[in-house]
This record gives sequence, structure tokens and C-alpha cells, in this order.
Amino acid sequence: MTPSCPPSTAEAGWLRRRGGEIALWLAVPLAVALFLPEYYLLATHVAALGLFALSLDLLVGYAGLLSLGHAMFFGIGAYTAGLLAVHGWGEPISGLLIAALVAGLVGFITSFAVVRVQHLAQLMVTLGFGLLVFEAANRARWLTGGDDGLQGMVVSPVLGLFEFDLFGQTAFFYTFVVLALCFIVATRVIDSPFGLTLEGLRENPKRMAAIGTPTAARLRQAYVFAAVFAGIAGALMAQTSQFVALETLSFGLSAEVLIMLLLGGAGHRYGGLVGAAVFVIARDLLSDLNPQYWQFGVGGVMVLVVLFAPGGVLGILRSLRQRLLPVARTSTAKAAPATPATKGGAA
Amino acid sequence: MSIALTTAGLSKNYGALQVTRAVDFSLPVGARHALIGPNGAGKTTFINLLTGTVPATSGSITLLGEDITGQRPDQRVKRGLARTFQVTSLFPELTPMQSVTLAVCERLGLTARWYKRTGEHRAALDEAAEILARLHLGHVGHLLTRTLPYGQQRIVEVAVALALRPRVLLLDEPAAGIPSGESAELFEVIAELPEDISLLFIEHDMHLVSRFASRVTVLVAGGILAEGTPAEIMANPEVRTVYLGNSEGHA
Repeated sequence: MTPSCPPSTAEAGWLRRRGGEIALWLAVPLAVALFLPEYYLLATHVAALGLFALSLDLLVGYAGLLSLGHAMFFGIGAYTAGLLAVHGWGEPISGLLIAALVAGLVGFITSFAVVRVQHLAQLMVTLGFGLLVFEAANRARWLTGGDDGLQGMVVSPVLGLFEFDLFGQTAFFYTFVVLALCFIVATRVIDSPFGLTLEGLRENPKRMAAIGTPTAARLRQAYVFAAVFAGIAGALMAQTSQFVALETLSFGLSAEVLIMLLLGGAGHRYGGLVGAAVFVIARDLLSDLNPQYWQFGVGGVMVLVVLFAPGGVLGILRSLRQRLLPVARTSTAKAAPATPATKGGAA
Repeated sequence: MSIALTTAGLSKNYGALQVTRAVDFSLPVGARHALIGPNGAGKTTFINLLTGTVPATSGSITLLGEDITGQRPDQRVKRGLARTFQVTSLFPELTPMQSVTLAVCERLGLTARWYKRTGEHRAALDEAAEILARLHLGHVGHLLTRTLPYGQQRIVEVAVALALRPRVLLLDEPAAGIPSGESAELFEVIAELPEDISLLFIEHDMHLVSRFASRVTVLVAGGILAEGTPAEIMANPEVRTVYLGNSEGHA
């Protein structure tokens, strides 16, 4: 039997669980391609923003760090990839990697200030950094195009084979594959001793210091991971839309990604993806009716989620499953008893 | 007899308030040493000074021959100093198995590693399971810590500390909050700890102290009032007035 790991979602039958996941990851792009090709653009947005929300989940859901400035990394990734493509470096994959590197570097530098403080002060520090970078990009019009956005990107075909087409097919599959790869890495991070350490830090930082964890160093590491993934998400968005709006750095986007994550359920691995899907699709539907409905609707839903379903969509599903399957399924592995997946569940 | 831990002139002031007064203390290797004293005597502060949670105002702390006065708490843990907390301080949403695995992984220097699943670190998992089994927690290892009865949570406190393989273990009222019948059970667990771990524990119950400690230090108003065997301490008239006087009835 494959050993089940103690952290997060472990239950009996690793292969069976991962098998279902793999099937899902194959079925979704296939379904979009077969049945909803007119929604490639929307699906690409969901995938890129889903990755962005996943990156925030590493901070909020796992490490217990708070951020109101996470769009900073998304925007930095987008502008990095965008500027490269404007200035003749159109190769998308290396563009992604460079964007990840730049976002990670900025994450590393700012992390020292962010992990020094907690709670409200942390919100203020991240918000402050976000505003600083936003205003800097706004002022550096010669470089970024200011509030007109960055135009004139020329992105080469992916792997030299797949040209970005008008229907958004290449854009979608490219984004989806990168999302899947990042998701595998994120899953690995979450299931690793490092991921377990993050959960420990979320639960009780004082105790973590008492077991010998250099808490600040671990939190900084998590912050850099989140910055890298957010940077990749931003770069994907820039490359697939061949445009970077100043809004990619805005406080509004930082708030929206937090809403997506809470909507889907923080600390659930899939919470960011589900939240991004619900958010983007609902915005698309409601904005068609009337733009004001959207703002109104998202505000109302947010209040309801926080009050009645703090675990988000996945929290609701999880508590439903627990109600339907009341017997806790436990592994018989002697050394590593499985944990019923209950983290951050709904009330 | 070699010395595990010493303090020299260890003091802590909060402004004009002296909570620890020039404490000279030494803990031999393998000691079973109790720290007693009335409420507000500065017992927990003393432990916090030793672990580095609270920085000392003056004086020095030496652990296994090394001056650790200026070190961060996590650095002291790496040098063999572990503690438990008076008020249970665990990971409510993690299981005991996860909590102990976490401590084992930290000791083995694995917690910065993100590219390998915890499940693949078999040695760490086996060790965590072994510690839980030794402390009779094997059957609840997979339940969330917050769902466990308080008495078991107190034992998880000890399990997490033990996973660090400490040379010196500081137990801050390990039986606090447990019904007196069950606290003896917890001390049985503590008594079974390996001989080479030096133990310093805070405890109010003189029965438990005389049963499990070979030496006792009495702390009053931040300073050491007396030190000796449990029998000597019980017989010390000064101690009886200051500390035992009011609890004689139920002792």
C-alpha cells in the first residue's frame, strides 16, 4: 500500500484519490475544447486567476499570512512578461520563467518586512507595498504605458509550434498546462514537511519556535513561493491577452483574489481554482445582464459566505460529505494513520 | 557530576519591577528537579528566560557548556533545550501524529524541504508513531488535537517536546488542569523518560514533587529561597511559612 502522508487530505488509497484528480484534470480541458470552444477566453482567465488564487492560498490558507497586496506579484509577472515581449523577447516559456524569477525576487526582498508583523499590521504592510508598486508603474509611463496599459506585445509560438490563435485555443491549453504543472508543484509543497510546517505556523507560531523552527525564515520561504506562482499567473495573463492593464497591480485585484479564495475555500488546495471559476463565470453572466448587478451580487454573496459558510464552496461540499459518510475512514497503515480531511471546514 | 544547565546572576526586570532576581541555578545531567513557589514567584518567567521566549535583563545561561544567553528560542531548541507549556499550546487543527511528525522533521532538519512528500520520510513517521505509542497515544494519533480530552492534550504536549530528543526538558506544570487522579498517570509517563534527559518541572502538588523529584528549588518573589531534597524542603521552616503554610491543609 502506498503510504499515506499525515498532512492535509490523506485518506485510504492514495492512487484512487490521485486517479480521480488526474481524470478531472484531463476531462476539464477536453470538455472545454469539445463543448465550449467559444469560451476559451473565459476558461483561460479562470485558469490564470485560479493559479493566482492558489498562490494566495499558500499564504492565507496554509501559512496563515495575510495579504492585501498580492496583485503586486501578479502585476510584476505580467509586466515582466509583457516588457520582454514588447522588446523582442517573445519566447513565452522563458518569459514565464523570467517573470517568475523577478516576482520571486521582489517577494524575497519584501518578505523581510511582511513576516516581521502580524494581523492588521501585515495587511497594512502588504497593502502599502502594493500601492507603492502600483503608483510606480503608473508614473513610469515611458516604460509601462501608465494607465493606457502596456501595448505592442509580440509573443512567439509556444515551443515554436503552437501559434497564439484568434480563438484562444493555444492560449487556453498553454495556460491550462502551466496551471497543471504549478498545481503539481504546489501539491508537493503542501504535502511536504515544509507544507506541514506552514500549517503548524498557521496554527501556533509560538509553539513552532518552541520546537526549533526558525519561524521567520519559513514564512519568508512561503512568501517567495506565493510570489513566484502569482508572477507566473500574471505572465500567463499577459502573454495570452498580449496586453497588460495597470489594473493587474491594483488593490482591486488584490481584494478580488482574496474573495475568490474565500469563496472557494482557503486551505483546501482546490479552493482557489473553484473560487476563480465561480467568480469569473458569475461575473461574466451577471455583467451581461447589468454591470451593477455584479457588484451588488458579489458583495451580498461575500457576506453570506463569511457568515454562513466560512469554508467556502469546498467547505460546504466537505461538510456535506462528512454528513453523508459519518464514519471516519481511517487507514490501517501502522506508522502513518490517515487523517480525516477536516481542515478549515465549514461550520 | 556533569552539569546540563546553569544560570549565573540571571535577572529580569520590567521597568522597576524585578521578576527574576540574580538566580544562580544549576541542573545536573539526568536530574529530576522540581521548581516550586507561590503564585507570582516567577517560575514560568524563569522557564521563559531559559528558553529565550523572554530576553534576560542581565546574567547568563549555559547549556551543556555553551553560553546560550543571546540565542533565539529556536536556536536553543537545536542545542537540546525543549519545553512544554503551562497552558496547552498545540496545533488544534493538526493531529497528534502530524504534530509529533512536525517536531521530528524539525529536529532532522527537513522542514525547509518542499520537494518530497512527508509520507516518503518513513524514518520520521516511524519515529513519530513510536513516540505516540510509548506515551499511549497511538490510538488517537489520527484524530484532530482539538477533539482530544484535555488530559490527552497534556500528554501530546510532552510527546511533541520528546520528539525533539531534548537533553534538557522543561515542563511547566505538566499536569495543570488535569484531575488529580489522572495527573499521577501523566507523571508515570514522565518518570519513564530516558535517564539521560535532565528534567526541570514546575509542580504545585507536593505529593507528586516528593514522589518524582530528587531535588527541589523554591522560588519566591523571583529569587531562590531554598534548595534541597524534597524532605529537606518540606522540613524547612522558612519554606513552610512562605509557601506551604497556606496549603498545608490539603497537602
